[in-house]
Amino acid sequence: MLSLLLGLVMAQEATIPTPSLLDQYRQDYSFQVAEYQKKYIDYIDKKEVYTKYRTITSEKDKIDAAKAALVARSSMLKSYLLALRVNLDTFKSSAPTTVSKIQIELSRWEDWCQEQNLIIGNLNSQNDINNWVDSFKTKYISIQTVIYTALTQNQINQRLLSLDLIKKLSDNLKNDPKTGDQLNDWLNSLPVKSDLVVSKLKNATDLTQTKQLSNRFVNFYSDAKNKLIDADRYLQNMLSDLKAVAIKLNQL
Amino acid sequence: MRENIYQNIDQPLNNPLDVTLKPVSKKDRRLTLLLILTCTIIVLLLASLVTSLVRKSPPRPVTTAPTPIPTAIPTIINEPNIISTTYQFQFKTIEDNLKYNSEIVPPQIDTQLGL
Repeated sequence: MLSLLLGLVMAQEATIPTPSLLDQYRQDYSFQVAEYQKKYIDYIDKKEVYTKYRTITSEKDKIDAAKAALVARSSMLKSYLLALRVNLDTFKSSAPTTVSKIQIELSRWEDWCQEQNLIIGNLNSQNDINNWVDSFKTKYISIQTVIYTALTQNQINQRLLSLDLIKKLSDNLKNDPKTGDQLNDWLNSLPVKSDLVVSKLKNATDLTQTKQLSNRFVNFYSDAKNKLIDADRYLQNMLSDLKAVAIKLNQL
Repeated sequence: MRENIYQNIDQPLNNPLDVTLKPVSKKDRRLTLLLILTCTIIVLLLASLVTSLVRKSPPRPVTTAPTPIPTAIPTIINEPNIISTTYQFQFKTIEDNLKYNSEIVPPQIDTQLGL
């Protein structure tokens, strides 16, 4: 009875929340992506016309289209950063300090994107745009770093939560009066696998600290994903072991 | 009596047995040839008839059973009934958590935009 109550409490704590706010931000991001794509295509068209005729009017049209596309891109980036920041709340309890740090960083870049929309509005010549694009390229390396760090950290936290749930379930099974020495031996092998999960997650965290180049983003995300997949394998393995124990217990 | 040194039976005049050989006429040769040809055609026709009959005959029913489609053997471990109700909910929570996709795919942008 006690373990049933414990289980229910634990499950209520850990159930993935219905992310209505997150859904809203995701939808907004999708809308902004569509807007950016429209403006981008328009810019490409205007650029082609300018390349063909080289007139003052076509150049003005091209600059206007570029500014509109740049504003749409900034808005899209801002909405993405916002959705990502809110998404980090889902598993924040696993590493609250690290998550808070990343969320502050994301929030800073959201403000930066907002500011850029005002700056882009004041760009009047092709030369102004060129200078702005050059400065954006440098900043975008930092933005990408924080984006992929947030994505990796969120998935690490998700797995840490799963590991925590598995440990709690393992404790419940250990404390079950029916669990004998034989089953206890089985449960005692879990810490080894747990250490392996932690080690893989640590590797993924280390990858987020990859040193970035000044002119190019060094993408660590695919390597980090591989580490997360390895961790998943151990977690699934642990869960299978616990299931086998639970089945044995039910047969006793 | 004078003795004949050589007696050729093909020469009826010298043959004492009075053999009369009828010369084979051209008509008879043609008739024989026609007969042989007719026989050959009949034999060929019969052979083709037999072959076509064999081909047209319905296929013999397959006596061997078809290869069964491989189906996954249901693993007992996934049966919720064999896990105590006390732990079923906890297992489901962990499984849901492991399956949940928390990733929001980042946008792909053109950094050359505006140039």
